[in-house]
Amino acid sequence: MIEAFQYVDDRFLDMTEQEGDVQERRERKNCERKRRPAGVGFAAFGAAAAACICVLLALPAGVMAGNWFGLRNLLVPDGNNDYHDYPDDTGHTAGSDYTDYVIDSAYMTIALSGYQGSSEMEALREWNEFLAHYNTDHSILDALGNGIFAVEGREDWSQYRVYSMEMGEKLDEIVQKYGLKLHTRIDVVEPDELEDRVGGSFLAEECRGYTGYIYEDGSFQLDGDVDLRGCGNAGFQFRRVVKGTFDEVALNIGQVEDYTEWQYVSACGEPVLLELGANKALIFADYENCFIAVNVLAGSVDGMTKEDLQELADKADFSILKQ
Amino acid sequence: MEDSEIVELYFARSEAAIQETERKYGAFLKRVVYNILRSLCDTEEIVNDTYMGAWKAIPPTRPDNFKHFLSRIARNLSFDRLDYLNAGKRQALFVEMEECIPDRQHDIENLWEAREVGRVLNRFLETLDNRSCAVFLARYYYACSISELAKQYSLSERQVKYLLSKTRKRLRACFEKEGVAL
Repeated sequence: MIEAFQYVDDRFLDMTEQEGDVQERRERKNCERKRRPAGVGFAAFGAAAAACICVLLALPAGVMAGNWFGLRNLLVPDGNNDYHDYPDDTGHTAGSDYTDYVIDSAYMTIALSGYQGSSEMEALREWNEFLAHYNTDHSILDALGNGIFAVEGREDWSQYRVYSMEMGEKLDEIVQKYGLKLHTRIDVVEPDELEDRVGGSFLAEECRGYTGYIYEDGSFQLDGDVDLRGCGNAGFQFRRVVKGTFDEVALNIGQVEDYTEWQYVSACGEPVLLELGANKALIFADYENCFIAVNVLAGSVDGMTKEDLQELADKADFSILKQ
Repeated sequence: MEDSEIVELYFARSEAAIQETERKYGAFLKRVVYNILRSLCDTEEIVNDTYMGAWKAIPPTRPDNFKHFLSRIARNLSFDRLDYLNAGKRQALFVEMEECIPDRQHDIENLWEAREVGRVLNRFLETLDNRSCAVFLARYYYACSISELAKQYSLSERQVKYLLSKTRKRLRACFEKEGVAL
């Protein structure tokens, strides 16, 4: 091994030194910036700086510098208007064959494709609003029965909760309004194939992937589990949604107030948002081209700690997926 | 003094060659050797041996890059000394590299293998971004410690270990693909 390194080309050794010099200069600049005394230029910024500090102090403790978005900013506006029926005051749903369990009315859903204000979130909000008030007596669905609604040339509608022409056309209208595309194809894949298709092995070897699916644009979900030092085994659903394509998947998270939220720089160097709740934990990474969400099927009641969640975040190479 | 001028002193068999080498690269060589041996006394000795090694090699060798030529001699001598000092103990560097490259005893056939592995290594380094390549070589060529790398590249030690681990795995995959026996 040692002998082999003797044959490393000079240009790589040159580059190693240059990179080291670049880092040193950067570090020196940072140190100089910190030491710079207040001068004329600084005084001019004084008032504005004071205003900024006041704003910072007024913000809730959960908001971290550098990225103002947290779990609350992922809540689907009017997300409780899910297409499931709502319970009445006694806690029972009214007359639906599709909801045979009592729904806790106080749950919240988050989008897994982007933050509030994004085209993806706005499209999801409108689509959910439409679904909440469409075919509320389920007559169209009853008429379809066990049949499949499919329109030739519209395989994209098959990727969504579309079971009538009216719904398909509404979906088209919404995505056009927000400049999005629809998914056209989904493949169920083994973890190895998924890794090949997304550009590499993005999970540490000790993570066990079971199965996943991937869309034509590279959006995917992989289910798996991993053993963590503190809480032991934890299942996860690892999801990447490529921006620009409409994704209707939302996640029930219970109550947003139940989560402890913090920013963390993962081992691969990428900043992520971590959320630890009683029954669930979450990891988010928002990039220009995609949004990543990891739904961890364990929370504090299962013994999961902040350190466990950080350990899990360290097992993913987000830098591979952000392309 | 320019490297080419120092090399000419070697060709002229002038004792000033060693003095100029020490003046220009003494500190650099001490750092390279100390990183490996972690002993001031041994470092002094090996650096002196490095000058002698250069004196014996030049001429006929006319190195393209004098600095790297010296660092190669220094590394070789350092690791030989380390083998002698730590017989039975495995340095962290060797243990890490076992993941991807075999570690065998010296013999002529192995020298050929080392050259071939070196060629594959260079092709692999081409595929890395500058930072990953720099951190990888700083660790396994210059034997910098994890904490030194963390300071130098403004990373946490955890991030450095992760970066190195990821790069070693990729190197292993590269060797497997190239058919280098593991």
